Amino acid sequence: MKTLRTRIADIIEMCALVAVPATLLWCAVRSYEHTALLTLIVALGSVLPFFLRFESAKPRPRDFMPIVVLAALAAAGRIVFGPLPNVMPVTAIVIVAGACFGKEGGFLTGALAALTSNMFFGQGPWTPWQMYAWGLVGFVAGVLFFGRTQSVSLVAVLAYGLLSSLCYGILLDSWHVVGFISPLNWKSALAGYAAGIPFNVGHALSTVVFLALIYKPWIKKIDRIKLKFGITSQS
Amino acid sequence: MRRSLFSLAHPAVIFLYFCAVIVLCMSTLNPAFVLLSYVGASALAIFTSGLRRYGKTCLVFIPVFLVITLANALFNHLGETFLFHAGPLRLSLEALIYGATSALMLLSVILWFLSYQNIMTTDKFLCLFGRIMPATSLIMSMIFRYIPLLANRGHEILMSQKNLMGDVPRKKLQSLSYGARLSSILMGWSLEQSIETADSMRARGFGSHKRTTYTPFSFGGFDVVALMLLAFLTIISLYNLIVARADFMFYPYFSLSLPHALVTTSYALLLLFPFLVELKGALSCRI
Repeated sequence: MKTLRTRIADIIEMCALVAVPATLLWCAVRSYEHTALLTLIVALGSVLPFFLRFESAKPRPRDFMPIVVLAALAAAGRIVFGPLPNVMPVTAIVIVAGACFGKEGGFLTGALAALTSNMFFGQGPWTPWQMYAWGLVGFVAGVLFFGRTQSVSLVAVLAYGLLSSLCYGILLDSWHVVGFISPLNWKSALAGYAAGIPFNVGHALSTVVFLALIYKPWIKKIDRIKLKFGITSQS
Repeated sequence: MRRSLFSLAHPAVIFLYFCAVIVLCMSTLNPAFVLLSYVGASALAIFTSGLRRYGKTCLVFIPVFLVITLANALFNHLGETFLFHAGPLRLSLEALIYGATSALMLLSVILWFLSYQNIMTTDKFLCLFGRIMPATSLIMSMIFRYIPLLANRGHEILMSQKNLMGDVPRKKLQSLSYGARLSSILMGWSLEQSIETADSMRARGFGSHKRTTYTPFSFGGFDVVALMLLAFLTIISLYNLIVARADFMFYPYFSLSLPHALVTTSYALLLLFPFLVELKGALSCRI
């Protein structure tokens, strides 16, 4: 039974997630002057409700340990594959986190993995975008796969991995394209997005490979650990 | 990496300073102000991270710079001073300047972030947000602890796997599944152990008191003065950047009447604020 409080929090989270693409689209259509600044602030603001909700739940250490370990694994994996910038295990690990620990857990894992790994790779205006985009990947994975890890086929997970990492890339490129190219028409937008294609395709393919390798064994182990320690997931 | 005197200020002052310069940098496309912000960002980045790292960062972003400049310039028919025609492509001077300004703005923001990272170290960030968000800052400091821990454990697992199963196979496909097994062992071990750590933390009364920081950060007289000065300069700059927008236009002909001297001075003072702190320190040392 959902209380009124959690329902309101759910609605706020949904609004925060929708706000970012909506603002990008609005700025692109209206060719708004301060697009780069406005969308950056909206992206930063959309991450906040998730952290505030997490704080207000006053979590016990054992409840957030899975997030710590999975985000640290994602960040460490990104550092290991650092020399190959388009091979990132982060997306695959965030999808596993969403599938095992629900939409909030997935979002926080993605956002924290982005924030902490950027301490090694360098913070930049891309940090809020990566936090939002990886958080979104984890959130949607939670909505699609949480509680259904046994019945969902691996092919569906791989398809989601491919699609979500492509969306991740397009979202990150959108800030450059919508924020810094003006006037925006089909040709200039295509030129902006085309520059990112090699990176995004490499990222998508590597995510599929990582997911194919780790999804089944990791899910099995995490389910066992959840049962053993009675971890409550999904607020 | 050189330690600047500005980095001794309270984390809140540092954080607000960078918020102000980054927001101001992105709030105007006036080429004079963008250039000013770029010079300020470069000076601080060179000071805090050295010429070498600065050069490296700039080099990495040259492709992004070119893509943005060209995407702006090539598909734009607004400018009137044509440089060349080539079929459907027309390159005008105005569009080229617009593209370069836009890309320079992005580069300055990236450079501000570079200095931010050098001055606003992780412990300052956690100190600032630990009060507002205790659970999140705890998670972050634990992730920082787990990254080296996982690396050490990964190495340990690799050594024992080599002893038990033989070397990493040469074939691509087999080495992939070898790596997957390593990662799976690492994840299972760390997750299980981390929950035991969490229970142990709870048993010892973790979270029953406010968390303290290793470095004592205190909000002193210098911070009050600095914050007031920064607020003053920011308000003057922000007001004038929005008003001074009318002073320049890109299309149809590029024209730039230089902005008011007072505005430029206050903006330049804000951008060079860390160097003012440095100057004050040098003067008070000499006397």
